[in-house]
Amino acid sequence: MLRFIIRRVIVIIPMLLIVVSLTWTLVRLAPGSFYTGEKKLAPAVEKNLREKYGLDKPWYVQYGKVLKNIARFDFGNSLKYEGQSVNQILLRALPVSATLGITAYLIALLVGITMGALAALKPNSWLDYASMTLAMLGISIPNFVLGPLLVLLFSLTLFWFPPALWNGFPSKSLVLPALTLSAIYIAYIARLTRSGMLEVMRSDYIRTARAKGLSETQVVTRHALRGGLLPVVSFSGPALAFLITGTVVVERIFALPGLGNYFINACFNRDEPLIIGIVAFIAISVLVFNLLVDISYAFIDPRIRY
Amino acid sequence: MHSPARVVLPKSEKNRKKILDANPKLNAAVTGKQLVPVGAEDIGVEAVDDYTLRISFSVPAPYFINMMPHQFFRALHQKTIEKFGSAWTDAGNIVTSGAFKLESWKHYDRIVVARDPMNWDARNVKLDRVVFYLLTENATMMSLYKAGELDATYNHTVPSAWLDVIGPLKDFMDAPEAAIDYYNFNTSKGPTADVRVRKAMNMSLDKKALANWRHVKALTAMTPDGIFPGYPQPKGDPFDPEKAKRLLAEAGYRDASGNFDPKKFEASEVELIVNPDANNLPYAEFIQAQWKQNLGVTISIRVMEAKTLSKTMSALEYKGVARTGYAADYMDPYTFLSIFGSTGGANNTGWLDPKYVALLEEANRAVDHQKRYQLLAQAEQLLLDAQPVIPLTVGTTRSLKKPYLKGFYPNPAMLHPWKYAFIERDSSKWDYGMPEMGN
Repeated sequence: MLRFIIRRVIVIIPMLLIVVSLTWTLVRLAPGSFYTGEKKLAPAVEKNLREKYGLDKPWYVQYGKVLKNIARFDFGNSLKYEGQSVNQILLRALPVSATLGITAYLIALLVGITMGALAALKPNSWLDYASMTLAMLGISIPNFVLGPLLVLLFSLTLFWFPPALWNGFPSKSLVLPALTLSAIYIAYIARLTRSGMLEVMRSDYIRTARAKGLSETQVVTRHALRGGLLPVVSFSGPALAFLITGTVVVERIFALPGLGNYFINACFNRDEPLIIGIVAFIAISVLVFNLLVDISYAFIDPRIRY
Repeated sequence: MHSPARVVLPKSEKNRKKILDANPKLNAAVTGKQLVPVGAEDIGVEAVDDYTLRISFSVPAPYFINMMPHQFFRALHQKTIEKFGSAWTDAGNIVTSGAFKLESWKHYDRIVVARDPMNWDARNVKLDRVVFYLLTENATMMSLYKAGELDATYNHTVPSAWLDVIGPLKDFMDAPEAAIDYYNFNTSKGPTADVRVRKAMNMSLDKKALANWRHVKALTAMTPDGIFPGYPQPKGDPFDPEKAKRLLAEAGYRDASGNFDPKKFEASEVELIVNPDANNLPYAEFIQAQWKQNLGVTISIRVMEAKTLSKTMSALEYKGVARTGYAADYMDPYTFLSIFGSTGGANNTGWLDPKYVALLEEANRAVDHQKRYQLLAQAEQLLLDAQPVIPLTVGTTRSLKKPYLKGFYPNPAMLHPWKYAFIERDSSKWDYGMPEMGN
């Protein structure tokens, strides 16, 4: 187990290097720079700016600086927000994205697993069809459509929840963005739970459990769910990583000051340190959560050994 | 006494040429290969005493007084900037002199300002606090406004597609604005290097139809009309598709009998580039349809992200036509006309006429107001004759305001004196419709 974890942690390094190098190259290939505006700058001013930010140095020096920064987990200063370090911005934006993401994640797990389990226990019943229809809708409706629809219903017709803005946790303004964000995850989790459970319910050890005289509730909660949720676990690890590291569309629709909002604006602003900082952070999160998922397998499924 | 010296290098380009000629040190700083430190004394700025600032000019520059409301001329506290460096604008650090002081600033979230009890006029400031939400999506702003979370929205927040619904509402504030939408021609290459082609492409557009459709005012000249009283504004060419075709025939795109032949026009050498923000794409599609309908020429549209477009435009790498716009920095026609007074800055057409530059300079030397306006109008006529741009529309404020928010008016410069704004509790005094200034 320990060897497995060490091996996986070591793999994170080359993966991160690839992600960062690709990002850096793409940023450099994009036309324009952080100082490009509607008005041209005087050549002397532009030269001064390039010198100040080290853009006049050869590419390998600049690239080396990026790598050095990442090795120290210090992504340097933002080019757009003068005087603010990327780390400061990450620390400020992450709690917003994480609060939203974890709320959406919990909703998705609770609703998704319940829907999927109910559907699997009564296959081909109206409950099954209703759950799976809802799941299909959740997968098919993109969040930039669902968000405004929820706003239209709950904010502008029923006036239950505010249509946007960030007011911390807990607050009513968290409800609609969290629901919007969770919809597609509810759908995936419900479908994964259903298929996982259906398979497990037909397996030998469930028949054994029933033969031992366990009640149906005990069979489902102690044996079937545990085995049936394996696909959900492997899906939900990376899902959590993506959820807490910010979602561009939902954060923009609901005007939330999270990582996704910073990220998209950093791209428009060509704010290289901030772009690389956010990408590296997301990459590390995804890799770490994947690792956690793999470790958790060992506890959920007794057959898996590392 | 800190601000003018801080801003002069990057931004005082409006008439810096004249100031520069008189000052070799400053001239070297701006036009030279390197930056030279410049002190306040080099640019004719001095603090006479604690309450008096003297700015000396080498030319009369009569528009200067109108530049004073611009943020470049805010008084700053030198010691604060020296102490905090680039963090001097953070809440808690910044020292301001207005009716409100910065309480907090959360990026992409909100800026909160509170009444400054130390302000000289604090007794007459009615609001305790103003919260500015930093929103990017217009639809989100509309929802927040409708749900009662906002008391007002800033300019251009009502999406064009919603104007039919929102336009008749009494909350809707729609006044002219000193901001224009126009297209640049690349005059350095391709068919648009020919002034006849440029004039034809301009004349074949029914701008009134565009303006009616978009609920704005048509723009035929380079300055918006009706905003600068007494300015003898030239009108520019009217909508005239027949003349447009004749001009194109003259430019060589003609059949054997000498009539304009759309097939001869090198439509592949011309494209219309726009950035996808706001209403630029619907505008472009309308204009594309007009060229198709009135000239029989199909010009393709290319959508380009804003920074990429800026770079393409300033390098004159675009083929034909590129979208841009300009909002007045101060209330004077010169703010628009000065764009084409040099090849730097926002002039991305490649067009520069020494005669035009000379007229602008002469105008700014004129002490007599009306004489100056006439000279500026002459320059504008010269610009319109050369047609390096297609003027399209004049902006309108297109914002929303709740009836109970009083002392808040739409205005052409988009600057709001917040100290006069207040919440009226007595509903009989509420505004139903756009308030008149002074009521």
